[in-house]
Amino acid sequence: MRGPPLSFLLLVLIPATGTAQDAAALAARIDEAMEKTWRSERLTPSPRASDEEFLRRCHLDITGLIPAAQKARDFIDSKQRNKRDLLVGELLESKGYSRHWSTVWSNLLIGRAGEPIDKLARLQFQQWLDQRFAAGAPLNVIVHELLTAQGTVLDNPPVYWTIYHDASAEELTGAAARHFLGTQIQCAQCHDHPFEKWKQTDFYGMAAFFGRVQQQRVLGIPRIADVRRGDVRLGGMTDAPIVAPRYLDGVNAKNALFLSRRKQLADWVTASENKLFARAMVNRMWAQFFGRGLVDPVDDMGDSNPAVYPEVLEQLADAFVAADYDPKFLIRVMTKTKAYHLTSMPSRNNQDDWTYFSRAYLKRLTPEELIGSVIVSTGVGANEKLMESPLFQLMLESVKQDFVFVFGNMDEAEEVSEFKGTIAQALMMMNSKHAARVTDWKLFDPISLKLRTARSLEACLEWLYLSTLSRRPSIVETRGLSRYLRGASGVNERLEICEDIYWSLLNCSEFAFNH
Amino acid sequence: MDRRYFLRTCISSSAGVWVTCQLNPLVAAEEKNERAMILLWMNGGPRQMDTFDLKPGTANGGSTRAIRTSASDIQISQHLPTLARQMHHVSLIRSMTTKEGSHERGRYLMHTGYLPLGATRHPSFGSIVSSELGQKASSLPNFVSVSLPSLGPGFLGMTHAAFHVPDPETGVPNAAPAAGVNDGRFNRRLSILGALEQSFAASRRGGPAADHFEVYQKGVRLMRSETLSAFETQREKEPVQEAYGKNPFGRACLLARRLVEAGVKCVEVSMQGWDTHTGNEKNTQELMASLDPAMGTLIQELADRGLLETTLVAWMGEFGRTPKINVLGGRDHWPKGWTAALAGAGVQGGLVVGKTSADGSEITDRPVTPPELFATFCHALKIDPAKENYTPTGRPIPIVNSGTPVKELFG
Repeated sequence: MRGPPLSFLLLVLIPATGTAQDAAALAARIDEAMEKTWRSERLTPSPRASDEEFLRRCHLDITGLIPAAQKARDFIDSKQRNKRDLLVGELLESKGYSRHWSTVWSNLLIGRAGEPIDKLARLQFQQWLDQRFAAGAPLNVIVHELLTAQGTVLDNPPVYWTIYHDASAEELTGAAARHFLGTQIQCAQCHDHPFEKWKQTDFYGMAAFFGRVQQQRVLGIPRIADVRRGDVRLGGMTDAPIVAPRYLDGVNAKNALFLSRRKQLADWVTASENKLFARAMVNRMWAQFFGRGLVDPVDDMGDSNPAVYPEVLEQLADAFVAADYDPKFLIRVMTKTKAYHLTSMPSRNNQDDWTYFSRAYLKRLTPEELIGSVIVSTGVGANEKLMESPLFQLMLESVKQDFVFVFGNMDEAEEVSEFKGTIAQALMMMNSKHAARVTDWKLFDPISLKLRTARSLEACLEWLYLSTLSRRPSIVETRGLSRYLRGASGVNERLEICEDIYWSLLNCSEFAFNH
Repeated sequence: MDRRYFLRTCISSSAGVWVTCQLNPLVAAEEKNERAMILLWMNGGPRQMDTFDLKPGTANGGSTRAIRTSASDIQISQHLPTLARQMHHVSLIRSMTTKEGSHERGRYLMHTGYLPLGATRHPSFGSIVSSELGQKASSLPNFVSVSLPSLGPGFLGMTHAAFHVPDPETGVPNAAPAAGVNDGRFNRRLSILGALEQSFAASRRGGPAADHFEVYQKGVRLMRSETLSAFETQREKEPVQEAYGKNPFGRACLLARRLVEAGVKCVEVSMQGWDTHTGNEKNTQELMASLDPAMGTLIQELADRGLLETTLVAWMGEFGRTPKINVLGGRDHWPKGWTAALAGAGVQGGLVVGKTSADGSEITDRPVTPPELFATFCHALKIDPAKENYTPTGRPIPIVNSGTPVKELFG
């Protein structure tokens, strides 16, 4: 058995470059580290997830949507040995990939709720992110663009991040540190950080980089520009001393005549030497796939809050830098690990493990994932063209507004072990006009068409389950539900019962969670 | 799991699981002795100088005349006659002061007692009330916001989010099954759902799935609950509805009284239209015409029913309006010195705290800050203002950031 020192040595000797082999090799090293800990913590990892479970999880994690029924059936029935790898590859190249990740990042960077007047700007911002993810832009490049953007949303959408924060040096500093460096230095805005090393001077040293951003309104449209003057004072007090720009590693920024301060900061943040950035990105991505960060909460990394698998975080961060900050490379590695392929059902002794990833943790669907998946379940989603049409997108947007409103702007730092649903959400899913429209077979819906033409009751049930839970019903479920269907008098009542079953499937936990 | 098990669970879920926890009427009766709050939120920033802090006969005072009220020391606007008869229950703080002149920041500050700071999301005060006074087993939500949605629950989590009723006329959204789904079908749906939940729970995937089911059970309980009728203002006698006013704010105040009576711990009622930069006289009078009967009747009814002893009523907005009337005849944002009105829950009526100068432009006596106001709310509601809640990153945040209650109000 190879020990950890040897595997560490291997990492040093073989620098990753981002190929499929690299991904597999790195995943194997991660497995080794995790298995060792499972043994030492006396945790029996859960068994390997079924194809059905993996398919649904992988679809939701990479594209934010469940698979369409036909796709689920094809995957489950496929005999190909490497079908899980193929699935990951296929999803990474789909339109859903960039749409999902632009949603995730947009929710993080500019939140879900916004003033109505900003609607267009927000849309532009998300579309820009979508294009960047679709084009395979490295994450460090995207972040550099966010940090330095000038102009208006119309000619340069990433500028909206600065506008969203009102071009305030303090706000931008807090957001940049939290989102791009995984640290909570905004606590140090008013006082030195209680647990970490951050001092108030660190906060204002970083804020000074944002001190020369100017927001002007031209014909009511906000425009961001770097200007030559502007100073930040300690504590924001008018009589306090001016603070010079200083990086979080304690090095003062050089006086640069032709370089804006924001550019200096962006260069430092996204440089390969800055481990904070790579670790923060890796940790966020990990949390997306595993329901919890290697460091938790994801944006409070630091000496007082160590990673659960420090060597995994380091190896992933190094490999991420070597792979030129390609998010797809990270996804390939993470989806290749043993931990990612475990079922969410506990083994005999890991039910209380919320730390070591010895089973898959339940992840609640976000409002976007929920509404998108409900739509996929109707069968409309199987038709990519329709999904992409502007009219459909507009419809989706309005439904989403209602959902996000009822579901709230869920905090990304919310604990996974605690489902915080509200009565209003349950009522909306059960009784709202949106829910009713989806399950109403009298309206034209691919699913009802399918049900009307189904050969048998069993075929009906199978289609309903594949459409919603991405699996076939168990024998017991088929028997139990057939009892209802057999009692039906005539095709209309049968369809009504199907509608009721469909409703129940959309409202159950198995649908509401990525498991 | 065999067929019998499946059928058994179907049956038990339709008959049992969904109906087990009906609200115990005795519990409901006990709740009435607890403190509660009604926040009348004047969105946009109300005019102190045309409502509760008049400067008649001055250039800034405009044409609003002052009238005497049931409290000997208080005069208020001529357009608030109903309220004038209740002022012996109401006290005024005429010296509220902040530095926040933007709607968004002011709204945040006057809902939370805090200024926005980085990633920290402070809870709306109603969420605090829900978390401190709320009943977990209640079939009604502990915090309801009517008309406009309140601010979010912040780090207290969605459990304490306001249950939002956008339209007081129509009541609870989505509380009845969709059209075409009769009782029989709805029960069938619940049976199937119950079985699905039980089999997923049987796979022992842990707490989140169980919690999901629990929230659904609560939802169904609310749908079937007698207390849902608390949301139906049409059940009130015609003269009562008339007294409050058959308009959105009147309805909302009536709804607030019904909800507090039924055990809801905090109701936030918002009234729109106070951002009056232009057109002085007419639209202010229209606003007053719906404010006066609604708020006046609310206080009178709470007092008549003995509810005012335990219910705090607070009237305020994000700031006041400029003492000086602008060229368009309106008044602009004015955080420097404005009025909040309080009644009930131990607040003595008929008192005035603080004072503004003759032209309204300066506070001349006892300025009151937002933390002091929120500490006052806490005092009235018997909530410990120093209690700390934790953000997701483990940062302790007290309910009120170092403010002492305005003790004069409690006699």
